[in-house]
Amino acid sequence: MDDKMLEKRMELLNQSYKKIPDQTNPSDIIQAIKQEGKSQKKRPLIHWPYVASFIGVLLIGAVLILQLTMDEPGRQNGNQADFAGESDQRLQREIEDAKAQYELRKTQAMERLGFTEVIFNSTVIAREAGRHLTYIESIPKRDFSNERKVEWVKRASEELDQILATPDVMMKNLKAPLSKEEAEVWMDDFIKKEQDVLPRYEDVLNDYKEYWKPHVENGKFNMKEFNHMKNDYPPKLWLLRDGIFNNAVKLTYNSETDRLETTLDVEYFRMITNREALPEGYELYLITRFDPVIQAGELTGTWKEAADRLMEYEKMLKELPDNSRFRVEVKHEYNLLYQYFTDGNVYQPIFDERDELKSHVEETYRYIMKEYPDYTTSLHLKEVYEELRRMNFVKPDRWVQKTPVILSSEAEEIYKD
Amino acid sequence: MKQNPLQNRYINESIKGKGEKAVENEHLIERAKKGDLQAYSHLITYYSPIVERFAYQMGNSFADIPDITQEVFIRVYRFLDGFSYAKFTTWLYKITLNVSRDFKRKENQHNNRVKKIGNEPSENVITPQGRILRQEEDRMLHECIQKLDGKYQIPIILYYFHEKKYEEMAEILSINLSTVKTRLLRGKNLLKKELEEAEKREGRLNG
Repeated sequence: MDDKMLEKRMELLNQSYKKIPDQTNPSDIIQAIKQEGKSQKKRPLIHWPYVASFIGVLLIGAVLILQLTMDEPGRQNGNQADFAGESDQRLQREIEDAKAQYELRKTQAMERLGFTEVIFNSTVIAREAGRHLTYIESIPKRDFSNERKVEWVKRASEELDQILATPDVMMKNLKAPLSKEEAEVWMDDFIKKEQDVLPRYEDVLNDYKEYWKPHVENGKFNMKEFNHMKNDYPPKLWLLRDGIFNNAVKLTYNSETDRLETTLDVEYFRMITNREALPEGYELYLITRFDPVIQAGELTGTWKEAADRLMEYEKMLKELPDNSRFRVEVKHEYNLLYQYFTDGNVYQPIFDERDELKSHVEETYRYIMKEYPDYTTSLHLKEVYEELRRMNFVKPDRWVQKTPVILSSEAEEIYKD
Repeated sequence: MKQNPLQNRYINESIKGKGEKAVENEHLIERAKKGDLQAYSHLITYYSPIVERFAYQMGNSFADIPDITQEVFIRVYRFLDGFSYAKFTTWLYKITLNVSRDFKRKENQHNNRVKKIGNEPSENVITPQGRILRQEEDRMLHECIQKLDGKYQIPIILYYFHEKKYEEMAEILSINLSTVKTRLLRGKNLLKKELEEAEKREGRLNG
């Protein structure tokens, strides 16, 4: 078939597509939008603590120390052939360029986040970048050839770009599919940066309460209304708002603490990034990391939502490689949630006062067996269910349940062989 | 041959018509950003055919199209504040792509479960395509497009049925420009091959 024929056929098909009758009723959608804000999951009471990360700097330091100790003898005093003056100047130029780049990237990062310099300087991103700059400035003092020093300065400058890349830049640059190793590093960096900025947004926003509080209606924060009053806000608040939007930050109102709270806007993240870029296990991990189903020892949503999450944990455990830095955490969450299904928790026992399995929990077991028949977890819970059914769903005197072990797909392959 | 003296006028009015519509939509978007749901309703009326077609072309079941379209416009409304007019259609396509993928994933899960319990859907069941695309040739081509891998299928759809330029496709798909061009070229070749094989199976020769 030649191109012309294909073009013709596509054109005819296009005409046929245009003749397909529309099905949308705009008023149904408008109604759905009005209903949108009404059902919302309970917000967790405990904030995600953010942990200052020095790992990047430590790694760089370790690599450099290794270079220092493993260097070849005889070169430590520099190449005798260097024209000392010229190469000194070159080194100085590289350092000046690195400093200029640092200033530029820092300014860009501040603008992208919508932070003032004071707020930005309190972030881990800023502190890490500052330490990196100090390291660059210290390179001339090392007893190595200028050629080597120039190489280090260039490498360190590239690393500065990565350190000062804000979450929005990271999302936009996530285009080509990542390998699992690359996804490990990317995810770790992204999560740390989001966790770095989220509490800053909360703290700053709560200083502007007079501007956003009027837009809390029936215990819910109306972001649209908040955005409408743009012209009445101080410029700093509006910049902050742009930063919030672009860096995938979602705002919700906590009526108990009377504060706005922040978390990752997963929908926005999925919209902005190339869905093919992250291996599936990693995207799932990101979603579950910022949307916990267990907080303060109880489920944050329904049992059905918890069931879906349990299956997502199983999927993650299968997808994440054995050496993934996230595996231990996911395994812990999986084990904990599985036990909620077999033993309940202090606030939400699965057996009632007569030791009978609660009906909504029984329904959830059946939901799992129906919707996820192939999952290892489902097969195990089926056995639990059968055991209870034989006892007319009354808890036996001896009730001990073990959590299934979910192997990664790479481990499964080894065992298969 | 004398040119129709009215032709230029028709052309100018057609261009003017497009320009006026673009300006009108820009105003509707600004009003919708301020919470004017009536303005948003007009935008839905204008853009929903595009969303429906795109969703259907990506292989979603005709019955799912209203749900998909609704979900798309709910999400668009959520993120409307961040769009400029120039970016609006890009976002619309991005969101439709994401919602469509989510729906397909759920549908695949369901089909796997159905197969598992022995109610395997028959290959010979007449799909609703027959009622939607009347011409046999169109149905065949539509099905061939469905057989393409997503990374080739979507650029083909955007290029041929939505007249998207490479740059906008790159934005919608969050990939590089060169990747768009490569996928489009490869997709076209794969589609030609698929179509030829389908026609052979149907016992037809197509030169």
